[in-house]
Amino acid sequence: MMQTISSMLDVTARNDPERIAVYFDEQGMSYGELNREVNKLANGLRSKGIGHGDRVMLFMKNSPMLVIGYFAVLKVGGTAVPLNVMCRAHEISHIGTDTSANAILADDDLWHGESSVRDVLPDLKHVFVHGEVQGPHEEAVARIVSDNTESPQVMVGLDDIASIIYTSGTTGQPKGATQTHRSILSNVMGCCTRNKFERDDRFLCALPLFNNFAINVVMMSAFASGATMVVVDRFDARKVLDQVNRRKCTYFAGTPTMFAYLLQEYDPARDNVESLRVMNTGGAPCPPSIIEEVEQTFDTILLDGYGQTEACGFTTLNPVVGVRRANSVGVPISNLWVRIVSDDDQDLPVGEVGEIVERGTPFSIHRYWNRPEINSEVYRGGWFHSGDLGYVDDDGYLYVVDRKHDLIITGGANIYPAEIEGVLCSHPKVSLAAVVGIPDDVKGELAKAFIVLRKGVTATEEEIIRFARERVAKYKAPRAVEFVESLPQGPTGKILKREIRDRIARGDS
Amino acid sequence: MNVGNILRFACRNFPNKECLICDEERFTYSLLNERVNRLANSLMDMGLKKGDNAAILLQNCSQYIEIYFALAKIGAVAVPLNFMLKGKGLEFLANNSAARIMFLEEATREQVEDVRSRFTSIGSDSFIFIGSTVPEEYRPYEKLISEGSPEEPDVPVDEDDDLIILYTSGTTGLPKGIVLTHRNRLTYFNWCGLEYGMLFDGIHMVTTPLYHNVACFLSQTQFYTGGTVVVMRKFFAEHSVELIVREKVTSTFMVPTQLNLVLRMSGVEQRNLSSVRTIVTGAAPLATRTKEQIIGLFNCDLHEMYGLTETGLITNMKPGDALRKVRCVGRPFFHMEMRVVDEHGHDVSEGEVGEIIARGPLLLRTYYNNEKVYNDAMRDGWFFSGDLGRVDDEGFLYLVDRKKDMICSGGVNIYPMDVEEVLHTHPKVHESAVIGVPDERWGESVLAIVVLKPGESLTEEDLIRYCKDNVASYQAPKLVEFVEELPRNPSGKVLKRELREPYWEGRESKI
Repeated sequence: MMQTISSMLDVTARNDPERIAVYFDEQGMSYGELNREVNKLANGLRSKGIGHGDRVMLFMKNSPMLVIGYFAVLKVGGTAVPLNVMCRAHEISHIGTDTSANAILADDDLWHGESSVRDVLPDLKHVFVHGEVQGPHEEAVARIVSDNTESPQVMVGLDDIASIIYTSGTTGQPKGATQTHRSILSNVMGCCTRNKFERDDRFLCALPLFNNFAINVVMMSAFASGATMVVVDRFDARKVLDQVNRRKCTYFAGTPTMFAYLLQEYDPARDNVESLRVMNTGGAPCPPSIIEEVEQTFDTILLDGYGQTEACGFTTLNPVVGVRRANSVGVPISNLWVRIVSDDDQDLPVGEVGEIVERGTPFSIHRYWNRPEINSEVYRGGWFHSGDLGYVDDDGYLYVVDRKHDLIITGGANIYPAEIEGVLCSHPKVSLAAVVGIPDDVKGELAKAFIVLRKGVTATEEEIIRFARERVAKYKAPRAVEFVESLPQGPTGKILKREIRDRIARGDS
Repeated sequence: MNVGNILRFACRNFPNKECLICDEERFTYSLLNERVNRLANSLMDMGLKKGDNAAILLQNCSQYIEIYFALAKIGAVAVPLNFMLKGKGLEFLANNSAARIMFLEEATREQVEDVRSRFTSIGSDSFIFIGSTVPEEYRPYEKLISEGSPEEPDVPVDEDDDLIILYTSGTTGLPKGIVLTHRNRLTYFNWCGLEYGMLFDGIHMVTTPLYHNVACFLSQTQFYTGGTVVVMRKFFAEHSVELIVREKVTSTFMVPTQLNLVLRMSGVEQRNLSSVRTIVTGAAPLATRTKEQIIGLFNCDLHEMYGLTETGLITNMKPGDALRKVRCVGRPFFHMEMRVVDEHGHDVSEGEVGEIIARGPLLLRTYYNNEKVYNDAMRDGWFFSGDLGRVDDEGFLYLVDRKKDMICSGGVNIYPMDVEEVLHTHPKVHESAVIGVPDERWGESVLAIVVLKPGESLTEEDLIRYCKDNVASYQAPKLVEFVEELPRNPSGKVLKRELREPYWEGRESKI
């Protein structure tokens, strides 16, 4: 008997039916209930002709319905294609066409804003709306669910595609990263082991559940551990701190930016965060000063990791017990190899910076959906080329230096923005920092820092530059500083440098 | 993915990390992987192919670990054998497994030489000898290592390929070969790594024979998560404690007998055992007092596992419940499923005794060349264990007994474990085994075979009276026999078949 993502839910529902699987607001749903709801929807989808291999888009805000929808699609042997809730019609059209999805499961308000997209998606036969139905082509989810609470008997293989997640596209058009039952389970088990998750853990999910970090690192780890997931509709530092206290959460995952906000919001007189056991950060390089401050303030462990949607989550993570190294994103999880290579794919010695390339079972054998050319480029020689720069130490700990793409070259010398951002964030007045290259006739590029200050403080450009020059080589220190109210961020809080660069190119800055 | 890739990955990711310690030998991942590759390539040069079986008749040693990985890398199937096997037993298994090669050593040489003329599938040049001096007629193991290529063997091996055949100890009938695939094992590694906290910084000590399922999968779990394995050639309580202190062992598996020996060591409480985070035990449920002593001594998590080699771990008793539940083996292990059913395969009600059945990814693929017996044991994906148990209101499983160890006296079922439990509460009793012996009137009657604590004495009448005060009188032993020690297999299980044999000799119906 093989274990798939869907069978995992069946087994927990049998072994531990009363345990709460999901909390959302006041609502708690046990594994038994969740599995029955999933089966009812899955049997409903089946009666609509949706089955093995079909792609179903999910266009929903964080809610139990999204969890039910995701698993129902998997239980009929289908592929879930989660959409960013910010997606507009033209983006949905791109993804819908690319995957030739034949159904969409959507929140009413989200769908009704973009429903015109139906006209350009001939393959889209079914629109299942959670909430109020408006047009003749829409069917209410509540109407299609079956009475049958038994799991549908569908053969699902480990190499079947469970989900296609479109990557944020820091370069070029969004590509769909395929994730198979095997690649997801393989990654999730690695992540669980590093964190030593157990069924008494309570995972707080404030990341959006259309994103890989939320779906696999948080939700799948929680369900693989038979633990409880506390879902909030969106990240809000106040809400997160309240929920940690209210539901006694033991685990939280977020981007470095989220942790910066949590630190700002934290009020020791009001917030009880004793229950927190371990937290993970990823999605962007995390300045060591943030890790240190989080660990001291919340008296918990914050593990820094590195990973990709293509690998279903973290590919390296510091261990929760054992040696954690400052500035390092840890060691590879089981089932995964990491190499550091030169531009011509030759292995580089320990300590030397090169491109991080990876392979192993967390990478789906189907790679990017429908992109043979990109696949042969990105996966050349069988290795996933991350586009990130890094090095490993003698003991195999990985250090991510930066995105290859974000590298600033000034007068022939390399500046890794992440390093400078880390330094800037250690300034007591700085909350967030982004360093990008601006064109310079002499040097080619110069480093410019965009800074969000902490609440209620002011600072001068000179002060910031001086602070940086005292800590890094002069050529690396920013030549210009701009104070901003906020920085453009992706749905998971990743700072979108491309947008900052675009703004500079347009002359807005 | 396959089991051999574990070393390949680890060797790429952290080549200089220490991974294996056995006496004075110490290996890094890169050294171990190189030796494994050399062995694997030499075995292929000898003609060993994917799907071929290789018998191993060795005591614990670092080479045992190498052999397991080398066979996995080339898709050959390991057949680890009990190193005490000899005569017809050894002949049967060597031939039944159709092994193409055999690994042996000085300690097992005589056993092999006694019967090797009757081996049908192992060629005379296919005996590989481990040791510093190698008799002429054998292939020296180290020569295979020095002559083999250090390159990764290029054999496609995937998760559905067979990895290992483990023979049942044969408490009833002929031994059966339990076939497990790479996928079975990889699932074990994920689940055990997590459940037992055998993580990247872990140092796991092997105290039981490596031919046995538990030692095999727990040691490989520790490699899988990138930790270090310490192999004991033989178990001595004193030495195990020394190793824990010296190597800062974080987890180990010991059967109750071993744990009792460690607990009884004089001065053990003065040793620094603080590195130990997890102790896993199995084979027989621990008495609550013993659990308290272990937790008191090691200040660590204590897990009790239950399962058959056929099923893998069916249940696990987690540390939080260890003291709360008495003589209990816990709840379903990870994503395994477990039920207790009546003779028609229907769930019995809570608290009632029935047969334990299990389902999940740890189940065997089949019995080697014995599809029929496999099909008999399986129904709708469930494996019927032959063990009797009951489940409480919280879903915890209690073993009542082996179905075949059950005593039927005057039409009433008596579960030896109930009686043994009472005997163990007697202050003078060290251990005991209760069996059924022929009885003209009742069919069977209850016999207690008892080992007293050193220097103690007790009469049969006193002990029977003590039992009658504590259990229903039909359960109390009719006879008591005092012995010096109980026969056990090397993994610590009491061999009840051996105890029963003299009483049932010449009778057809029982055993």
